[in-house]
Amino acid sequence: MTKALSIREEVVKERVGLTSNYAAAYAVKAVDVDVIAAYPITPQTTIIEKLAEFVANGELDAEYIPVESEHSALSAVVGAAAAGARVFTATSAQGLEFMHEVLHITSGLRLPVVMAVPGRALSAPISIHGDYQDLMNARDTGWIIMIASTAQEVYDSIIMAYRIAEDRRVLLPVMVSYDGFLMSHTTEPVELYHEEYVRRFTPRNLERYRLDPRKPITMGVIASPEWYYEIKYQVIHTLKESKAVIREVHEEFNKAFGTNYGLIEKFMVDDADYVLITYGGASSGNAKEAARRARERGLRAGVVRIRLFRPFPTEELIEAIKDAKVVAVIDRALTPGNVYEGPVASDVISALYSRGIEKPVVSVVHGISQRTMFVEDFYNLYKMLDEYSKTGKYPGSTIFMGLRT
Amino acid sequence: MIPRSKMANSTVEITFYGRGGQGAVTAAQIIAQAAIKRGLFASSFPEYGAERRGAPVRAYVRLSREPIVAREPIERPNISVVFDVRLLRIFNIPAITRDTIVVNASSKDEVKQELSSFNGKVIYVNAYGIAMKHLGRPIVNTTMLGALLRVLDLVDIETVKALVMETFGSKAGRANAEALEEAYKTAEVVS
Amino acid sequence: MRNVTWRDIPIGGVILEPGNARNNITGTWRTQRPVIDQDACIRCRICWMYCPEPAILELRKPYVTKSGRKYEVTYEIDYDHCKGCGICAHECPVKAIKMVPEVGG
Ligand code: SF4
Ligand code: SF4
Repeated sequence: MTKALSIREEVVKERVGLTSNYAAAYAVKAVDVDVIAAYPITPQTTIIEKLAEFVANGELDAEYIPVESEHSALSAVVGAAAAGARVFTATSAQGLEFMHEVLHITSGLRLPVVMAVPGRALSAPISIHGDYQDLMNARDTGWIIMIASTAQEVYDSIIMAYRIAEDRRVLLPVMVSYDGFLMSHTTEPVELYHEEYVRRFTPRNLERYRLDPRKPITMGVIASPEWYYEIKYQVIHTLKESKAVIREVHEEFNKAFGTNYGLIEKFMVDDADYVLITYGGASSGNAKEAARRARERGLRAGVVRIRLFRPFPTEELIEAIKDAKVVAVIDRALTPGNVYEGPVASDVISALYSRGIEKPVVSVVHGISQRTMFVEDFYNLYKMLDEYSKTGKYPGSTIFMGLRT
Repeated sequence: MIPRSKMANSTVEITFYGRGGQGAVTAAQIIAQAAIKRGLFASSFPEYGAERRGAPVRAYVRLSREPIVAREPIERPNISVVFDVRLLRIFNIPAITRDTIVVNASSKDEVKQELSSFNGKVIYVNAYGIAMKHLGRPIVNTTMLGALLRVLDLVDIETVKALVMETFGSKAGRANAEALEEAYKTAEVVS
Repeated sequence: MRNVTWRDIPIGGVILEPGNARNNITGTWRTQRPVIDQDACIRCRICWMYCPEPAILELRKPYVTKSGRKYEVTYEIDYDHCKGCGICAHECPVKAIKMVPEVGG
């Protein structure tokens, strides 16, 4: 603890109030990116506004490409990354949907692009408000996906993201997501590091395939059916294996910056009977506060927050929940027509099933288009889990909390 | 409503009520920044939506000596900072405020009349008059900050004034800091 | 070939050897072949520009036509890569290229 404290004293330059969007921009500046291309969309816009300011006033020496769409934004950074540049883009909602085909291209070409995604609901009906429908639609695109829960974590995760993406054992794009508005526009304390520490942690990897006229190679070729499967499998395999590298980068980051990040975050879970599995800031924060209240009233409540979403942290998650009586997964996203409509609930169930563990999993959807999630809702959920566990009767279908019924 | 946890009880929750264009969001930001500067924990967030000039808006601040985990809107603030006396009814402020209402009104009588049902502490300030005097415009956010500082001990006036200077630039910053100072001195405890 | 697994291919399907499309003998795709009448050809270079492969070769090879015109270059077909699309014959302004059936492969 004292060691961690003294590391912080050394690495932290200043403690300031920042929104998560500004925290993202400061991280991008700290890692010294070469090329930024983005198109404004709520609630992402203030990230790229801040970056435009950094570039304009000379604090960041980067090429800033104001493109005409999100499809072009990602395409432009794909091109720059192919040429060996360190790149950044950001988007939300319809913007991420519009990028969708290029998402697959980025991972297929093995380009270490880093993108920030403050999550937002999808049209129709039109909504500018936050949830994670956009992110969940992008989950099968071969990207590494981290979901942060505080502005500090956004800053730290983007720094880690460059290290992970550019690692020669990985070479895959990384998304860092967080709550639209509830984090992207909330000001909270962030400890910014001296940039030399960040740069030392994120050396550029130029030992990767890149377009260089002195050493020509071809990228983006057509693969005949004899070879497509193999090239795609490389992505699947590497994404799965990247977990070891991600763990290693987390450990090194913790050592270098005096932090305590893991692939999941555990809150009061060691002896917990009832565990809420969450992701993002609002679900996790309110669930933690609810767990405290439930504990004060004698319920053994805990929270597991999924920080690394792809690749899925199966071992860590199972280790954390193996002794719980019941778990409930809080999804701020939808997978319409599936067995459960909460997408991560299905992930948790297959994680448990894959290891032969039988455990009741309750799927809960809440916070859609920023429908207010109260601490009290999660407190009530702990009481419901207690009730289910005592009666042995489980809902069997997704619970839609906060819905007008 | 279930009681708050012990941890949450050490948190001070403030809601700013204004109209689009009056700077309620900026005021909330400045208080949060001031607290963060002093090493405290703070979170400030606007009521998110399409912003329209003149429409009633709210901005929230949580302040604490401990890290803040909850991310729910503030339903029952400890302190309500009301930029315009007419907003008291629109947001049902006397009923939801736990401890203190800081209100901009034209007279003490108006405040007493509007807040007869409220049992907590009331701070009255003629923010409109002060803002017109120093800024020549009815932008009352910095003036209201001055009045708020009378009841908020987690942040100090010097830090807030420095942030006001930083936010508004040297010329407008000085005028705003003067308005803040005058409001701090002239705000009256009504009850 | 049989022993090459997914582990052995450069990641991202990157092709490390520049210009290796040359190894793809598209000449086997042909059902008709273009034949240039060197006496009719006016050396305008249009076929050379239009050929998608590119399989029209521009050679430094002097040629004297039957009517006595002297040319410094000759256009010939690279039959290893000409796929027989007929674009050159279609574009030639003096109809100096004829498409003739491939016989016997
Ligand atoms: S037939 Fe087509 S491929 Fe062959 S030389 Fe003519 S244009 Fe080129
Ligand atoms: S287009 Fe016809 S005339 Fe022109 S160079 Fe080719 S063959 Fe000769």
